[in-house]
Amino acid sequence: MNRKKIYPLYLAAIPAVVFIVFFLIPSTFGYYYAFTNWSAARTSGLKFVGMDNIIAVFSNSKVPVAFANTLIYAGVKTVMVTLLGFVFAYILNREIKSRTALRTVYFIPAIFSSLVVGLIFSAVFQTRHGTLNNMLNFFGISNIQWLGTRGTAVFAICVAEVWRNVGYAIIITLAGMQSVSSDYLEAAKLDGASEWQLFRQITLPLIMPTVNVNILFSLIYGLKMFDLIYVMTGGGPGNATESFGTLMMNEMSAGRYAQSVSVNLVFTVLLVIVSIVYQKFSSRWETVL
Amino acid sequence: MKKQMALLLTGVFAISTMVLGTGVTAYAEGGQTLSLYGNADDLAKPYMQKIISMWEEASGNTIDQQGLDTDNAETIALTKFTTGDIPDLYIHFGNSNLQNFNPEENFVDWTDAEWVSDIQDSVLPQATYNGKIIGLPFWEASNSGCFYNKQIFEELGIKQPTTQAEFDAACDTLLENGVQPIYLAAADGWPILYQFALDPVLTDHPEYVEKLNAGEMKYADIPEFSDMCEWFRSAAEKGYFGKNFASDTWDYTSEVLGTGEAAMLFCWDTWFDTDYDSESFDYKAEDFGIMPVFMGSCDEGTYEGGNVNLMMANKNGDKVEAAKDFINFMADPENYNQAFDGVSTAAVFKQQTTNVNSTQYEENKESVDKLIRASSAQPKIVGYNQGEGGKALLQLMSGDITVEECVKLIDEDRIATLESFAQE
Repeated sequence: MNRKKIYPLYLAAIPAVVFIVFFLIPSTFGYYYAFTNWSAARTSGLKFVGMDNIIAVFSNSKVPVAFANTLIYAGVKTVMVTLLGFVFAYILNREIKSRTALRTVYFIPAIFSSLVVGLIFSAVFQTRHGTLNNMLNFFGISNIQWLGTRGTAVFAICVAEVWRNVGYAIIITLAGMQSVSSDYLEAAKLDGASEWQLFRQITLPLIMPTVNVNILFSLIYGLKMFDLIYVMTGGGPGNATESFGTLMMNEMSAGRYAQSVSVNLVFTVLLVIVSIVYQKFSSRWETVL
Repeated sequence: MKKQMALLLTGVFAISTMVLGTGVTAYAEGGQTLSLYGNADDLAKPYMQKIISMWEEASGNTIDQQGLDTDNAETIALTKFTTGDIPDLYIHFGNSNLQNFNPEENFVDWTDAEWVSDIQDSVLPQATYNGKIIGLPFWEASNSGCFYNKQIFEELGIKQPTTQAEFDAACDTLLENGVQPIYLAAADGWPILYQFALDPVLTDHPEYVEKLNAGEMKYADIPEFSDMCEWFRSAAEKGYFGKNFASDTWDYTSEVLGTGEAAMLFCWDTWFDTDYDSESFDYKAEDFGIMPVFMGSCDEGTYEGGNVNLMMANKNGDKVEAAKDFINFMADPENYNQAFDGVSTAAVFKQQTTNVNSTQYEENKESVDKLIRASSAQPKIVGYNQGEGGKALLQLMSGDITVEECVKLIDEDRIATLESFAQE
């Protein structure tokens, strides 16, 4: 007998109302300011200026760099976090000693705030007295400006972001792996399936919904990256590590409030497109047994 | 009869107090409460609290101080102003954003006040808006310039440079002797302090500010702007800023100067009193001297005067006379000398004597007094952005962009703000 209680549909209205009142309406009204002349010089009596600010976003010379960097951060984070999360989850799902302790250890970075992680990795990648350079100096290698050139600075930010997020991915993937019924695996083993075949034909397809969640979260949060960049490089050197997030911050700091909201609006549209496209394609990879 | 006598005595006492008492003018009627808005951190300064309590005691009035959140003070104040909530007194940093507060409509014009002649020439332009004095500069100030390690210079036989060519030659000598000439915390952007290069240009050509703010001129039209960029580019290429300038941050300034790794720094003199860590390193604060800044735009070099806060009075308020009285009280030499007694700052007023000047200034007073220019670029140019400009210059110094691209990049940011503020 199914003892699960079926709740009436109207109860779904409660979260919907919360979502609409506290997110949808404020966001929509917020985006209205992208079409006004709101600035530090004008905070009341705002006027509608049409698409001027949106056009200004596309003519801003910093946007292409920020756009490219945002994609790099999101891409690297998604691939590395998903991959490492998968590998570590696979290892931690096996019968090994200290499994519980290791699960806790791997998850610890996830509980740190971005500010703390940023400061830790700033100390690691500093040119002067940085942990990494101190180690290199020990082997007779001179200092490297990790945060002083675009390539290495982007690399450093990605390392910090992956380190911070891989714990979440491990936990989510591990939960997916533990939900795979041992019946399937044992039946396949009786049929003579190898370890690789078990993984490829049974485990992987069954945990794809979980992996998809990981990928989508990594992608969206990767695109939204701001705090780590702000703490580690401030968008520098120059504008080399700017993302959409730091660009919004810069516009706001300069008193160009409407332009900041415009960058945010363009960015939100990009996020929505990426999410829809990913959702559309990811469902093809999922399997139901 | 007794009643009339009492009234007469009260009148005589009141008049004698006003005339002989404390320098408070006849306008100050006790019992009034004036509202004052300002950045909370600024209001908390000891000399500010001192002058307020002195006036309150002398006048019998009180000042209701409303400290605004430091990070958003200007935005909050602007919101209040635009909604008609204008205080009797307002403190503002006197930069180009002041125009947003409509000074001509809202603040008392002090152009004919007696105390105007007492303000240092290097400070007066910051109190000026459209040719009128719109507030009293009342703040701690510093002398900015190029600070150099006197011992290293002496050991290497380098004399204090007096021209750009001599400065570059001094840098070459330092390099040849294995000393990094200048510590430039370029990773932070703002310590590049490129406004130092623009102050002499704007002093010589005050019309540039008006044209830039009117959108009739670009940085590319100012030859000295490109000269400054070119100097930064070539200086970086020659190694004047060392190998790591792109990742050097302000946090390491004490260490790099204190160990003698670098010999010079673009900075302000009070930093050596308030921030330099004399205890931890070989070279102490007094081992550093001040000389003019040479950044390719002014052959004789330049110093920058202090950036100061202005105290302004609401000319449309019903307590305008009391507010004016407070500002006149602040401008009285006896009063400001009490307030600034022992405070480490350059003098904002000509009769200011109780402040403590820096060692560096006292040692090279003649040069500083001769070449000091009022801070102009930062307070006057709408959209001037020290941080974003520094970022563009770092890209230039790293070889990522050309001088022309750098000028364009800095100007784009300025114009974006200018257009944003002018949007109808």
